[in-house]
Parts: sequence; C-alpha cells; structure tokens
Amino acid sequence: MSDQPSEAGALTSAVAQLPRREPLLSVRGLTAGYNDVEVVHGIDLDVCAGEVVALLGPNGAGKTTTLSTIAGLLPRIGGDCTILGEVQPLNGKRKVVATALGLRARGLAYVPEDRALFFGLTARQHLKLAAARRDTDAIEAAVAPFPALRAILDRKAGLMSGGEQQMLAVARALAARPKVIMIDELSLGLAPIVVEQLLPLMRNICQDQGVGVLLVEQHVNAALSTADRAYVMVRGAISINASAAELLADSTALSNAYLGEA
Amino acid sequence: MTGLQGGAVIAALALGLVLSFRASNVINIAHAAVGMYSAYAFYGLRNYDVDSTERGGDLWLPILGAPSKVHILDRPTVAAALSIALLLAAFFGALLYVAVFRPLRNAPPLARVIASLGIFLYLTSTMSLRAKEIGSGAASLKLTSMLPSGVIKIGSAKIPTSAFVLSGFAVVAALLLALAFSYTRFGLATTATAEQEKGAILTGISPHRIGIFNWVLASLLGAGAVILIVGVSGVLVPTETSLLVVPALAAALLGGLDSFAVTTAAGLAIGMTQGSLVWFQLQSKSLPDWLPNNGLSQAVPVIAILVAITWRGSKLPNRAAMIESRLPESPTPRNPVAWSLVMATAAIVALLQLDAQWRLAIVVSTIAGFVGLASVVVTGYVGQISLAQYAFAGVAAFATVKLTKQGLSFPVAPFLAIAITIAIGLLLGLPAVRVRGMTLAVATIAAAVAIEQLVFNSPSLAGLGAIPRPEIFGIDLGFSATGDENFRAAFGIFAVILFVLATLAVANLRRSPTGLRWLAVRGNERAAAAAGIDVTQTKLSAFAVCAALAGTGGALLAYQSPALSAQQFMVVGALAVLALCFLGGIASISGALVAGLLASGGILTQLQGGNTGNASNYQFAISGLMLIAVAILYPDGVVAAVRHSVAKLRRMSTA
Repeated sequence: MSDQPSEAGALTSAVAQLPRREPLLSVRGLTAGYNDVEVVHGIDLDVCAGEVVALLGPNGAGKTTTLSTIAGLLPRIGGDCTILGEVQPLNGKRKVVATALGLRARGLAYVPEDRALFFGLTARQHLKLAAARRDTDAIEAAVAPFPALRAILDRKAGLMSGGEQQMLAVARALAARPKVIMIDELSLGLAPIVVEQLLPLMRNICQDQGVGVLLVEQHVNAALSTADRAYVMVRGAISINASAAELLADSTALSNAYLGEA
Repeated sequence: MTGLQGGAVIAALALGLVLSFRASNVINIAHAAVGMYSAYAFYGLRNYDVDSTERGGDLWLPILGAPSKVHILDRPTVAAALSIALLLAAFFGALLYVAVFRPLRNAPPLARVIASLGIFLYLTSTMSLRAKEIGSGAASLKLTSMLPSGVIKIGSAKIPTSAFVLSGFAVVAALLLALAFSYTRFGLATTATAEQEKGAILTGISPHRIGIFNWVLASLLGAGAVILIVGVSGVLVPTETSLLVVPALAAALLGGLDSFAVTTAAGLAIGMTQGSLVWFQLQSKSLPDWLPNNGLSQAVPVIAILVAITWRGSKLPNRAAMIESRLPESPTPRNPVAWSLVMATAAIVALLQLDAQWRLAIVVSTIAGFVGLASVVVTGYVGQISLAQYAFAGVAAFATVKLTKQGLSFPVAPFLAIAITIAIGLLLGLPAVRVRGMTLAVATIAAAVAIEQLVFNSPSLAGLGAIPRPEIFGIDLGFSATGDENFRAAFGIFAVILFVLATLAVANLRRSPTGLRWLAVRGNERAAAAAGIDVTQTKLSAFAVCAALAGTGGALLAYQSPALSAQQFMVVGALAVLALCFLGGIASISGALVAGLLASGGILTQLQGGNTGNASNYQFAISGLMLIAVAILYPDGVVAAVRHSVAKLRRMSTA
C-alpha cells in the first residue's frame, strides 16, 4: 500500500522541476500511528519558506496523524524528520512533551483540529502565555492579521464563536513567531464565508512573514486556490504530489483519489 | 471562639487542595495525610526535653520494610527540624505528582480517587504502626506549640493569640496565591494547563514543571498548617489528623475548587461554626441526650456543605465536564448460577469442616462481600464514586439492634432496618443527581463522616450489647456458642446463602434493562438523557440497591458481633473495601468477591495465620500500595487485565 500509484507519476515529475530551496520541514519515509498500529505508511513531504502547502485526502487518510507526529505530540514509529535544519531523533512515548516543547521553541507551530484553546482564559491571556517573555510586541503582531480578534481581546475563549476561536488559535500560534505553521482543518465547523476569509489570510501571513504553512483541509477547492502545492493522502500514503494549479485544472485525478479509484 | 484556629487550619489545608486541583484536576484526599506525616517528622525530631540530656533528632519514616526511624542530628533547633520536615513535605508533594498523579492525568476520575485513597491508606496505616512503636501517654511525642500562648481580649471575648497567628497564616497565604494566580504568568499557565494539556504544550508551557511546582506548594502549605495546629491542639493521631481533610474538602468545594478567597472564607467559617456549636452544645440543656459530644460540630457544617454543593451542581454535566473516555470494563456475567453454586458449596463445606476461627473468617469475608457488592453496583455499574457503603452498613446494623431492643423479632427487625437504610441511601443518592466524579466522592465521604459522628457515636447507641439469636422455622441461626462450638456454622451458611442470592440478583440486574440503563448513565449522562433514560431515577435506583446490599451486610453484622461500635463503620473501612473491589475489577462481581476474600480479618487474613495486633495496619498499608500501583498500571483492575491476557492467549491458540 505504501507504493505510490502510477497515475500520479506524471504530476510528480512536474513538481520535481520546481526550483529547489532548502525546506524548513522535510519528512522522508514517515511511518506513524497509535500504539504500534501503523496508520501512516512511509510518506515524504516538504514545506519551504514562504509557501502554502495543502495536505488533502479523504477521512481516515492519516492527515491528522501525520501533523501530530511531526509536531512531536505522537511518538514517531519510523522514518526521518528534519525540522528547521535539525534531524529529529525518534521520540519514545515518555519524551512526547519534551519533544513537542522543543520543536515549538525552535519555531514549529501547530494548530490542532480541536484548536486546544483554554475556554477559561481571555484571548489576551492566551497570547501573553504563548509569546516569549521579552517579546513585547508579539501580541500586536499576532492579532495584526485579524482585526476582528483585536476587538475582543479581553473576551474569554469559551464565549467566542467558532470563527473567532479559530482566529485565536492561529494568532496563538503566530505569537511565538514561528517559521513553520501546521494547521489542521482550519475550516472545521466554520461557515463557508468565514473560510473564504481565513484562507487568504493564511496566504498573506505566509507571504508577509516568510513562514511555511502546511494546511490540512476538507474544502478542496478553497485550499487549492490558496495553496502553492498539494499532497493528496489516501490510506496512509501520498498518492498525488502536484502543484495546486495542476490539481485545479485536472480534477479527475483528485476525485479518483478521494473515491478510492486511484 | 476556639473555632478560629480550627478554621484557619481548615482554610490552609483547603488552599492546598485547590492548588493541586487546579494543577492536575485531582482532589487529593491524602492531602492532610502528607501533613500528618510531616508533623510526625517534625515532632519526632523535636522530641527531647530542653533541660534533659535527651538527644531527640529521630526522623520517623513511613516506609514499610525500612527501619522505622533514623537518627539525623542531636537536639535539632525548631528551625532545623522545621526545615527538614518541610523539605520532606515538598519532596512528598513532588513525588506524588511525578510518580502517581502525572501518569494518571488522563485516567478516569475513579482511578485518580483510588490512587489518592491508596496514598491515604498507606500513610495512615504505616504511621499507625509507628505510633504504636512510639507509644501513648507519657511515651508519646512531645507536642509543643511554636505559637505564642497569650490571649487577646476583644470586648468580653478572649481569643488565643495562636488563633490570630494561624488565621493570619491562612489569610496571607490565600492573598498571595490569589495575587499570583491572577497576575503572574505562572498562575495563568497553571489555569491553562488544568484546562487543556495539549493546548498548554502548544502554547509552550511545560505541564510537568507547572504540576510539580503546584504540588510542592500545596504540600508545604498543608504540612505547615498541620504542624502548627498539632502543636496547639496537642493531638496527633494518624487517622484522625489525616481526616482533617474532610472539612478542608468542604471548604474547597464551597470555593468551587477555584477561588482562593472564597475557600479561605469558607474554611474560617466552618471552623468557627464548629467552635460555636461545641460551645452551644456544652451550654445548652435543651438538646436531646442522644446527641454525641461534638456530634453537632462535626456533622452540621458537613451537612450544610452537602446541601450547598448539591444545590450548586447541575443535573447534567456541562460541555466543559465531558466524560472521560475510559471506563472500567463491565463484562456481562456469564453462568452466574453455576458460579454461585460452586462458591456456595465450597463455603458451606468449609464452614462445616473447619474450626471456629475459619468459620469467623468466612463470615467476616461474606459480610465484606456484601459491602463490596454494594460498591460494584453504585461505583462500578453506575460510575458514581460513593464512599458511604460502610455508613449504610452501620445504619442497618445499629437499626437492627435498636429495633430488636424495641421488641421486634428476627426477620422483621432486619427487614425494617434495611428499609430504613434504603431510605438513607436514597437521601445520600440525592447529591449524585447533581454532582459527579471526584466531587461526589468527596460529598459521600463527608456524608459518611457526618453519619459516623452524629449517629454512630450517639450515647443512646453505645453499649446496647448483644441481641437475641435469630431463629427461623425453628432453626437456631445464632452465631455465638460456648467452646469449640462458637461461631456456629448455621449462621455462616445462612450468610453465605444470602450472599449467593444477592450475587445472583446483582448479576440479573446487570443483564436486565435496568442494568443497561446503569451502564448507559455511567458511559455518558448526556447521551443517556438524550436516549430517553431518566438519569435521576437511574442513579437513585442504584443507590437504593447499594444501600440494600450494604444494609444486608450490616444487619448480618448486627447478629454477628457481640457489641457494635462506631469503629466498625469508619469511613477508612469503606476506602479499603472500594480499594479491594478495584483490585478485583470494580465493574464486575469478581470485584466484590476479591473485596470479601481480602478483607481485614477475612479469609486471606486467616490463611496468613490469623489476626494479630498489627496485621490490619500492615494489610491496609499494603493494600494502599497495591491500590496506587493498580490504579496506575491497570486502571481496569487486575482481574480485567488477567481476563484480557486469557482472551488473548485463547485467540492465539485458535488462530
């Protein structure tokens, strides 16, 4: 199952001709899962500075598992993971917290699917905790892309709407001034109109601050119109690796992958 | 106003409870037990007369198998002894967090309650052993107060200076904590970590560091408070001192386990209410005779708290209190009839063949089995952590005796007694309708202590003596007899048959629609309510069954013991039974069987060669350790783990 389907070969070769930069995040042959039950079977993935990469795929493909594993929250089963130039050693179950904290300190931010906000704390308190101690304008920088959030900085997260919560989750990630941001299901539970606003915002953040963004998305078209490149994951393996424009143009490859015919 | 200093200690202990709860969502029932140990450490070190040549400086250790004390230094000063004692308390706080509660942070609340009960049992039992070594009376530790001994007059009231110093200690601590938690990064980080650990990590907060720091702080506060109050009150008894946690729990609950200010105020208020009630009871001539000394002062605040938390709680858990995913496995009983027949035959053959001590042991085990069965129903099947099972047994036992003395005969008196117990059970089930998890555990402990203080210690129940022998269809079911005939088999067989019937009834209930409703409520109250289950009625039915089972055990106990005493029904016993059930699998009948077999004075004790002086202390200490280990390693209980391995082996052999 870990073999890549041959139909995707043409698309993959097109990407190979893209100018190569040193990736911020580089994963080779990553296997991941839960308690030795392998869910992700050896995937390769790169994210460079200043690009938005979408990770697409049907439910159960292993997208969230991939992100959690890269973030260090899940112990990796195998494969190599180079993050911001540093090769990550395999982390056991006991070292999960230390690994995740270490990666975050180096500049890897992760916004999980459930957003993991503190409902009892205000937005300002979230950002204060997330920012480095001496970084006095981190809060300002974090909310700059979200004027709507700036207006409700002293509201508790539990009282915010879904879209506001998602903005806060992203702002909290930004407050640490990361170099790579991974966002799981930015649009989960949000109205389409909010999604249409949030995705371009990620594009701006990526361009303005030169960070690399890895997005997991269900709204395929919205994600592809924002992203530079996309990986499509099916049953724990990458089945398509192509530029967003190519995928938008050739929707059959994508629907085949989603419908399991690839 | 003797209550002020008591209130100050309650407040200081409660602050520690709030801290450890905020840091790791654990209501640490062993909080005052750690303080109790620190007090032993401190007063052990200081145990010398300044004018004599005694050298003191002995550090008592709560470690089974290690020497009970080590000599550290000669004639330590207060400062030296206090530093050592507080250092130990800090170490204990960190150890409890790192070794026990950190690994259990995602475990179901039951496992966390069990672990803290394990620590409580272990510390109180090992220190009870040490207390026996130290001796009582003149030989006991010198408990001298470090606080000024004068009296301050305000108007006509005289208030001891120590009360002022102690309450100052509590208020300043509360103030500092409140400030730190609202204004510092550390406070915010603690609040954040308690709510969402993954979020904390993603925010760059190390949950380990936050947890250790809070637990150390909590331990230091608790140790300081207990050391100070022990000096003033001159009372240091392992179990009694550790149970100081009960009013502190009450104060912490009134503060919502969150507010330092409200907690401190509640602690002081509880202490003062207790103080004035003691005074009131001494003065008042119009109170009924049956009220035990101090009964009102111990029980009334607790009752007030029960009412308060019940009123504050909500019928269904809110979204933030979503149910933990993992619950102890509750297998459907298979072939209960066959199992019961085997069990009953074995027990009856043993009763007929073995000697008197064995017959006693089997009866003790059977009665403990009833209490275990009660725990399995209410805690295992319905997920309501109740620690009032021994209180239920006590109510039934005392009611049986009292009713018999009023002239009722054998089958009527116990039946009526059990009916009364069911009514009390329904009453105690009321908090469960509105609070859950650890809060409910605390509410039931409080209720059990209230019943113990207000009812079991009542002078009108003291010295009632034995009751007439039970007799049915002309068969003498009495327990006592003379000589080798004592502990008659007839009573044992009667008890075993009742137990088997109860087991079958529980097995059937578990398989009936009622049992399915129980499991549904245990799994997710909101989902159960959405599926049309009356959650209130379901919980109350479980409490009624629980009270009936424990009550049957209690009624048997009334006929078994020559004279009842409050000690037989102390809350510590309920902790031990719940613990043993947990070993055997709290959500299956095997839990009750294990609880019966391993109960103190039961079959296991007899196998080890009978009950000798310290045996029960050792047994409690070891079951405490086992509890902690089992809670961490097998949150489903040992029997479930064994069952899993067997199933796995079977699959492998068939494959």
